Formats: sequence, structure tokens, C-alpha cells
Amino acid sequence: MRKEEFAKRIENVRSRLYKTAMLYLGNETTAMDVLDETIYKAFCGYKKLREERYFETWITRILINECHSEQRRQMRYKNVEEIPETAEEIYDSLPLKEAVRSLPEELKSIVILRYFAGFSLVETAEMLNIPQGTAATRQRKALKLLKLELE
Amino acid sequence: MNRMEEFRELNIELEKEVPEMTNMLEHAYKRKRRRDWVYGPLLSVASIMFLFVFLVNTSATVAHACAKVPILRELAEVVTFSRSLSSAVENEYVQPMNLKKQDGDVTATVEYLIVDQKQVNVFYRLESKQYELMDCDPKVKREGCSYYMSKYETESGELSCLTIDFGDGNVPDTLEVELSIRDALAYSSITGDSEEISRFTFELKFDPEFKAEGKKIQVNQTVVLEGQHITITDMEIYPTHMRVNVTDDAKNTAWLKRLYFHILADGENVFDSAQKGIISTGSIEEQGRVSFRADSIYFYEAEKLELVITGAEWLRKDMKKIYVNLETGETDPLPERVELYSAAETSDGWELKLKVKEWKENEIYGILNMAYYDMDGSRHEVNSIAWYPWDEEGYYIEGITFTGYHEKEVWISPQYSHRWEAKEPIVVHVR
Repeated sequence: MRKEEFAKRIENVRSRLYKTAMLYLGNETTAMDVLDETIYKAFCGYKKLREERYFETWITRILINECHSEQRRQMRYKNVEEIPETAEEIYDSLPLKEAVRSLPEELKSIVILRYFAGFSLVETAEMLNIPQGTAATRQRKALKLLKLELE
Repeated sequence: MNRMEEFRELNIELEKEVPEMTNMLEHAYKRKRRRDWVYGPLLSVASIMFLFVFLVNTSATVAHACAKVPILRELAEVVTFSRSLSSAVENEYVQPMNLKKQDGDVTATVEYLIVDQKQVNVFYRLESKQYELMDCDPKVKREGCSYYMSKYETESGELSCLTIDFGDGNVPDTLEVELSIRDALAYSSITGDSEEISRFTFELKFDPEFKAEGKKIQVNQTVVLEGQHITITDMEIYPTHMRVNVTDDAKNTAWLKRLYFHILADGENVFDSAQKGIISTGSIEEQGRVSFRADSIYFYEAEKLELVITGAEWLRKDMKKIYVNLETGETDPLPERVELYSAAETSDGWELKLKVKEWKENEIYGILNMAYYDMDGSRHEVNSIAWYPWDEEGYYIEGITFTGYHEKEVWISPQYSHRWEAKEPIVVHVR
């Protein structure tokens, strides 16, 4: 892939990357910093990408890892715990954006990738390196907690 | 609005805000070009290091020119996060090492040390053909020290820094450091750690010539800050950092938790208090003394020195423990800018959330200590503290989990009660 092609692909995924970063981090400035770092790292490594059709999943993985790094940086070395799945009433009381961000990591990544970044279940499972069945189960759990009726 | 409507609105909102990324692309191109130029044409490290050590010891002219050598220029770029370390490099206070080891596809090289009586800074490089980005998890096999990295992830070929601080103790003559390396781009599980790909153990021996002892300046002056008497006892100056040592008066109604200050040298050169890494050591409340860190004046010959205090953070003695009724939400006065957001009991215990107003944009500042107390006054430890960004601009949530705790009342332990800003800076003349 040449540089021009790289730029074009970035343009194609721009919206997905931004939504993913915003939902993970909740803050425009931090999301932009993380996007900047993601694009840099993708640019350093894109020539090694064996199959160009995996570009979108590949760069989204980089972004998710960057979001995790940023969250770790913000948490100052302390253990982070999300709201447990049992606390349904807590999710109910939160605005949707906050509720998504408070989901356990396993469920949060599914919801963001499936319903905001627009990846299919197959693509999402591939990106998270989990079986499709596991992705489907987590998807169901997450939607139940968020009280969203989506497929 | 029901959840589905919220979902639709949220998607519309996010779609409207998507920014252009042309600037990010340009930035990425420039950054990579710069990186390739710095790392590309380096000569053999071994030959340069030998030449460096030999000639520095025998030639003043060469010693002066060494700061211009490309290798030290690279080090100078890496230490920009610390004014003290930058000064050390400018003054060639650097111990070259060139300890290289290989494990699998990864080569680790400890290239330099900046060491003094109290702190070791290890500059190392990881190189790999297979792994573009690596996570480095260090372990220092010595008690009585704390350590931290300049950044979590290291690019292949990039120079990184591990800082090991000895607090009240002294740096020994040798130190064993272990580096556990993981692939930062591994996706075997986004929720868990990736597997270790390499491990290195280095035994670091410190050259006495580069292990400077600190200088001490007695101050012994008492100032009154917001009605509290604080005594600046002395300043310790090391190449890697400076310490301002402080005690207080037992009659004070609050303990000093943080001091906002800078050092002014010769009326014009400002040396700031530490803003990241180790900010202070010790505890006024537990040990009767605390030591605040600052950029070092070690390499600066100052005729006149002043400590300029602009503010402080306190913990009122009557707020060491704060009562919270988890059922009703009733509390004793909480720290400044903090309010109780929610308390929810689950089968595992209680979860408490505090809503906090930021002091500075995007700065998350921990409110609570890990200790909490029950009705009998018994001490427990919080299992986890988490911070969540909040929808309302300028606020965030601090969430605390009391696992296994089902009493209706709890006493939490704050890190501070309030901050104070001086109307006019308070100046302490040191010399």
C-alpha cells in the first residue's frame, strides 16, 4: 500500500475511529490525541500489513489499545473496575453515553464496535480475536444491560 | 427520551462531530521522517562509547564538545520531560553503559545511566524486526525503592527511560533490573495481558565518578500559610532532582499535603516544583516531615536563592475520617469541590461514587485514600478506585468499591480537604 492509498483508507475509516475513541474516552481533546497517536503508529506499520483488506480491523485494534493505554494513564496505576453486570439499576440511571463507558471492558468493546463503529458481528469477533459465539453472547448481555433493542 | 431514542440521538451527535484528519496525517509523516533520521545513521555504539569515556577523561576540549555528539543529542531529546536530567546531559553527567542482551527476536541495550546518591535513571533501547511496539514491565530487585517509566510502550529502536528512586535510602553500588517485554500490538485478548516475548536481567554497576553525593543547604525558616506554621528545614540538591524538606507545628489545625512553589535563582531563573513522577515523599501527618521535589539547581551556580510559595493543599485534622451514611446519602463535610453522587449496594458490597469538579482541564486528581473504617473504627482497604469521565464538562466521577462490606455507615479517608492560593507569593530567602 502506498502513502496515497494509506491516506485514502484513513479518510474511509475516519468516522468509525472518531466515534470509537469518543465513546471510550468521553473527551474530545483526549480522543484527538489518541487518534493522532493511532494514525502515527498505523503509518509506521502499514507496509507490513499482509492483506490490505484487513486495514480497517487492524487500525481499529491499534486504536482500542491506545484507548486502553490512555485510560491506564488517567487511572494513575490504580485498579479500574467498571460497574458490575449485576448492577442493572445503575446503568438505567446513567445517560447512554456514560452507561456505555461504564460497561465491563468485554461488553463495552462489543457495543462500541457493533453499534457505533458499525462493524458486523464477524468483523467484531475477528478484531477482538474471540469466537463469534462469544461475541454474540457478550453482545446480548451488553444490550440487555443498556436496555437497547438492537440486532 | 427512551433508550432507543437516546441511541439514535447519540449516533447523530457523534456523526456531526467527526473532525478532519489531514493534519494528523501530515503530523504522522513528519514524525516518522524525524524518527528515521535520528535512528538511521547511528554508528556502532561500542566504538563510540569507548572513545567517549577515554577522551572525556583526558581532554577538556572533547568533554566540552561531547554535548554536540549525535548520541548525546538523542539522549537530550529523550530527557526533555525533566529539566534536571536535561541539565545533567548538557553537563555530560552521563555514565555510558552499552550492556546488550538478546532474547529471541528482541535485543535490549542499556545505553546510559544518570545516577546520583538517591536516584538511578536507566536509558535503554529495545530492538526487534518482528515487534514494532513493545510493552516493558520492569522489576527492580531491591527493597526501599520505587520506580516508574517515562512511557508505557516503546517503539523498536526508541530510547526509553526507567527511573528508580531510593527515597530516604541511598543508591547501592550495584542494582539488578529485570525487564519483561510484551508485544504491545498483540490482540490475543484485548481485556488481558499479552504473553511475554522476552525477558532480560541487567546487573548495573555504578561508576563512583557519576554517582554524585547531594549538597545540603540549611534553611530553618518558618512561614505562616493560611494560619498554619510550616518550617522549611533544608534543601537537598542532587543532579537528578532537588528536595525541599518541611516540618510543621503540632498546634496546626491542618496537615500539609502539598506545597505549590518554585525556586528562584538569582532573581530570574525559575526551577519548578515536580508536576509528575515523584512529587513528594514522607508524610507530615504520620512522620512529622515531608519532602517536596523540584527541578535541580545542581549544575547552576546561584548566588541568590529564594523559595517562592504560591499555595498549598491541606487536610484538616478534623477531616481525617469522613462519615457517610450509605443508605441516606448523608455525609459530614466532604473535600472541596466534591459531592456525593450515588451509593449503591450490590451482592458484593457497596459502591460509592463522588462527583468531582476538576482543578485543571482533563486533570484527574484522586480524592480518597485506600483506607476506610467501619462503626467499630476497624480499618479496611478499598479494593479498587476508578475514575470515569463525566458528561458535564469540567467534572469527573471517582468510584470506590467496598467489597464484602454491608454496613450502612462508613468512614472514608480523604487525601486532602482543601487547597489554598496565596494572594501574594511568600518568599523565603535561602541564600
